Amino acid sequence: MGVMNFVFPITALYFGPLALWFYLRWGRVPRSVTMAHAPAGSAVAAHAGPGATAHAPGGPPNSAAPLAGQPAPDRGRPWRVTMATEVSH
Amino acid sequence: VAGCTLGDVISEFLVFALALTIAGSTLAAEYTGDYVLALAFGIALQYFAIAPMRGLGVRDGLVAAAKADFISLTAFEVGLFGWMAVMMFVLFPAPHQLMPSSAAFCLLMQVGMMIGYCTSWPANAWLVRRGIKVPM
Repeated sequence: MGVMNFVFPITALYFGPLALWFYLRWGRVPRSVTMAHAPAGSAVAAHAGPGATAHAPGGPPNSAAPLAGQPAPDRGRPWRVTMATEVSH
Repeated sequence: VAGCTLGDVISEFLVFALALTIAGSTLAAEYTGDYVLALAFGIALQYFAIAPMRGLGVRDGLVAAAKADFISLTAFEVGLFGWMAVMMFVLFPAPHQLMPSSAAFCLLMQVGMMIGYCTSWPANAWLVRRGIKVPM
């Protein structure tokens, strides 16, 4: 989400190092999502969560697959992390 | 809350630089300016998240953004404004007010933002559970 490129630096204005830690721990896009040539179904892709694996060609139908254009929140992410991101935004 | 932060910072410096008051009160001018600018920036930042996520146009996107941000922002300002009142009336009363040009003011406003973050959390939890604010 592009708007977070503004939100995290602004949050760091008052939360300082805590905001930096949170960004590095939870705020960055998983590496496998940014690697265009990651082989589908590989261990790397499997760790990217349902949003990344749902579209693997030939993969089993995933009931948790998000609708097109609506990235589902990462289910491996604790609720408090989701909320901390939403509050900061 | 990031939008609120931007709006509040700009408003604080405007009120200070222009020496604005409302009915003789600097705090009233700060509250008004902070709230208005925070709402404007807050809705703008929500818009740039909600409109692409839901594929909304400008009008629908702004309405959805306003719904998602109004309660969250108000809860944030409750914490921040409460802290500002404590700063002004308890910690640094009348002849010793802190000015936005001082480091102490900036530090204490950071504390106020963190308090606002905490008061905004329950409001955001409610908004997300109701589906008014969709998590990224």
